[in-house]
Amino acid sequence: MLFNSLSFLIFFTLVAVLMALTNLAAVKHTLGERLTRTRQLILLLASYVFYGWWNWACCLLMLLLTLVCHFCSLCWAKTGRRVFVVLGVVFPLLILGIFKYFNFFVDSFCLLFGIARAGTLRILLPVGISFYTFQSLSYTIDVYRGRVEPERDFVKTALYVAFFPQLVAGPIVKAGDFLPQLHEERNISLGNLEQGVQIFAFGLFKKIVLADNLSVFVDAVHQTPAAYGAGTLLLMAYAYALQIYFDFSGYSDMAVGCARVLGYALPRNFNLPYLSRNVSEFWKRWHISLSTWLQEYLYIPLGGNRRGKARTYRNLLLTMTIGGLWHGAAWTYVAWGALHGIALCAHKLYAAWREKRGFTRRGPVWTAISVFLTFTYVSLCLVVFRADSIGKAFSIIAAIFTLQRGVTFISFWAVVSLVLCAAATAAAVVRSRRRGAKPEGYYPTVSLNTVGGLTVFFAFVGLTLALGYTGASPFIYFQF
Amino acid sequence: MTKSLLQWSGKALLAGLLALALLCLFCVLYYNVPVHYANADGSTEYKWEPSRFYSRGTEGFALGRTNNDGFNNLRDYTPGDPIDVLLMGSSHMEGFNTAQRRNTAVILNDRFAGEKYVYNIGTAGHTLLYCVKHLGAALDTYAPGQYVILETDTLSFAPADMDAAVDGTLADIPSHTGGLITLMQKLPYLRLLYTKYLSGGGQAFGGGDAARAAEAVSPAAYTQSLGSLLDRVAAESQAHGVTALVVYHPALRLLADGTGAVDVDPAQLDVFRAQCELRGIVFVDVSARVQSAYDERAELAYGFSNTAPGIGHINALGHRLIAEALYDAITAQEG
Repeated sequence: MLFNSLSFLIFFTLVAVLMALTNLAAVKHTLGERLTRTRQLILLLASYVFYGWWNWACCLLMLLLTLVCHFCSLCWAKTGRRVFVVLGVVFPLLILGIFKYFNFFVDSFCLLFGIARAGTLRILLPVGISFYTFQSLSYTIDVYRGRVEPERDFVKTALYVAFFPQLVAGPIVKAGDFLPQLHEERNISLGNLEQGVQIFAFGLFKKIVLADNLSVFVDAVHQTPAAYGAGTLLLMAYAYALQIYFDFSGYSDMAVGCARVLGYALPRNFNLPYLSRNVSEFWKRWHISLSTWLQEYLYIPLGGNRRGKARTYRNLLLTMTIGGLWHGAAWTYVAWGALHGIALCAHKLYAAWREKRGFTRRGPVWTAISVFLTFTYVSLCLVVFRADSIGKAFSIIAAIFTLQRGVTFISFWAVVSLVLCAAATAAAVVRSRRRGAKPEGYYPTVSLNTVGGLTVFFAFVGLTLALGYTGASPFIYFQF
Repeated sequence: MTKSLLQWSGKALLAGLLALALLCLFCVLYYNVPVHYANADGSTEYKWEPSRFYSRGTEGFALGRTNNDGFNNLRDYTPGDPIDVLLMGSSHMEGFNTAQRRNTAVILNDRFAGEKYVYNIGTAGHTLLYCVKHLGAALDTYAPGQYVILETDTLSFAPADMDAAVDGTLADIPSHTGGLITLMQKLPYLRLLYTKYLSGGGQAFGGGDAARAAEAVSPAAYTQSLGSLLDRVAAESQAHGVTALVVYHPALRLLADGTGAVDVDPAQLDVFRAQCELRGIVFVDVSARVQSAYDERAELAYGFSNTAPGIGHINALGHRLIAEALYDAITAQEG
C-alpha cells in the first residue's frame, strides 16, 4: 500500500475517522481509562493491516522481532543479565542478515572463489525490514544504556516498532523520541489535521511530480549510458541526486504528515541537504534519522574520535561502509558508503589543516563553490548507488570526465527540479536568517480556515494531480 | 459545531471553485485539447472541435489552433479548395506535440513553396489500418489531385486486424460528446485529469496494432492479409486518380554499447516493400534517415525534453526527416 495510492487514501481515511470517533464525548465516557489504550490498539491493528497488505507472513516476522526486543528488555531490566541484551541485539541482526544479506554473501563468496552458485535461500525480502530492525535495536540498546525505561505494555512497544506512517521507509525513530508520546493523550485534532494534510500534500508533490518525472529521464539514461554525451550524463547524475532526495524526503514528509494527523510527531529526516558545504555537513542534513542512528549505535561504540586519528578514520570508514550496506545487499551500496567514508576522512583532514593554518572565515564565493562541489561529489557518488554494477557506475563517471560524445538531452524536469530546489533552499535560508537562526527547512503551510488558504491548498493539490507522473515508479527506499 | 462546519463547507466550496478556475487557467497553456466529435463525412473516425486554440505540455510543448475543419493545418479549409497531397496518419502526423510550424505537413508545404498544397488530416489513433478503413471517404471528401500519404510507425499488423480494416469492421474510436460530458471536456483541467488517470496516462504511447500483432503469425497469413489491405489502398487511389505513398518511420532503439538500431524486422520490411511495389504504391522508408541522424549527429527523432529521450512521439527532427523523405519521394515520382 503506497502512500500515493487510492488504497492508502481509503485506508488512512478509515483509520482517521475511527480515531476521530474516539474524540466523541460519549465514546470517551464509555471507554473511560481505556481510551488511550483503545486508540493505541486501533493504531497497532491498522499498522499490521498496512504491513500485511504486502504479505501477511511478514507481519509474523515483525511480531516475533517485537516480542524478542520487548521481553529481552524487560528481562534485562528485571535480572540485569546481559545475555538478554545480547539476545535482543543479535536476534534482529540475525533476522536482517538472513533475509537481506545471506544470499548476497553466499553469491559473493561463490564469485570470489569461482565456485558454482549454491546454498542461496529462496526467501522474500520483507519491505522495510532495515527500518524496523534498527528501531527495535535502538529500543533494546537504549534500555540497556538506561536512556529509556523498559516498556511494560506490549502494545506500546509493538506500536513503536510497527507505527505505520514510518514503518516501511522511516524516519527511523528512536525509542526515546516516540515511547514518551505513547504515554500522553494524543489523537486527531483540527490543528493537527490542518498541518498534517498539508505536510502530506507537500510530500506527495515532491514524490509524484518531481521525483517520478525525473525518474523517466534518469532511468532512460541509465539503461544506455554509452549513447549519451558527457553533459547529459552529468545532468543525469544531478537529476538522480534530486530524484532520490525528492522521492525519499517526499516519503518522509508524507510519513510526518500522516503521523501529525494522528497526533504524533516524527523527527525531521532531511534539512536542506544540498546546501551542505562539505560531506560532514551533508550527513547532518541528509537522512538524519539514519546518520544519527549510525553515529549513536555504531560510530561511538566503535570508539568514535576518542582513540586517536587512525582509529577515528577507521571508524568513519567502517561506519559509512556499513551504512552503505544497510541500504541494500549489493557492492554498489558498499562502494557508495565507502566513498562517503573516504570523503568524510578527507574533510576531517582538510578541516584540521585549515584550523592549523588559521583559516576560519569563509566568503560567499567560497561558500558557493563548496556547496557546488559537495553537491557534485554527492551526485557522482549516487551514480554508483543507482548503477547496476560498480563497473557500469565508473564507466559513467569516466564518460563524464573524458567528455564522451553522444546524445545531448536537456531534461525539462531536471532543470525545473534544480530551479525549484534552489529556490526553496534560498527561501528557507532567507527565512532562517530573518529569524537569526541557522538555515533550516520548513513546511510552508497556510490556514485552512480561510477561503484564501483553502484556495491555495486545493490549487496545490490539483496541480500535483495534474503534473504527477502516472506510470509505475515505486519509492526508492522501499527496497531497503 | 454544526454551524461552524457549515461555514467551513461554504468556504471550502468557494475555494474549490476558485482553485478549479486557477487550474483551468494554468491548463489553458499546459494542456488544452479540443473536444472531438464523430466525423460525419467518414474521412476519419473523429474530428477535433474546429478553430480551437490548443496547447500540450505533457509530451513536448505545442501551441496552435485547429483549422475550421478540425484538423491541425495552418490554413482553413474551404470545400473545393485544390488539395494536391492528402496526408493521413496517426498522432505522429497530427503533430500536437511539436510547434505547429514544425509538423510534417507544414514543412512539406514550405518545401513545395506553393507548387503543391499538402492538407493534413492526421488524427490520434489513426494507425495505418484506420487510414485504410477511411481512405475511400477521405479521398471522396478532399479529392486530392495528385497524392495520398498514409503514415505508419509499424509494419506489424495482426492478419485479423488487416482483414477488419479492409471489410470496414475495425472497431470504431468512440467520441464522448453531448451534454455534461462535452461541458466537462471543455474544462481543460478536468480534461487533463481524464486523460492522465482514466485513459492510461498522459505520457503513455502504445502501438495497439503492433501489440496485437506481437502474437506469433505465420508469414503466409501476414502476406495474404497485407495483400488484401494494400489491394484496397491501390484500388481506392486508382479510383480517385492519385498515387498512394506509405511512409514508414520506425523508432530507433538505443543499445547498451551506445549504438542505435531501428526497430524493424528486415524480413517483414522486405515483404511490405515488395507488396507495395507490386501494386504501384510508393513505399517511403524513413529508417535510414532516422539511423543516420543518430549515427552522424547523435540526434534522436523521437522523444521530448519533458519525457524520455528516444521514446514516444516523433519530435521536430522526426517531422523534418519524414517531410524530407516524402519530398524526395514525390519529386522522384515526377522525375
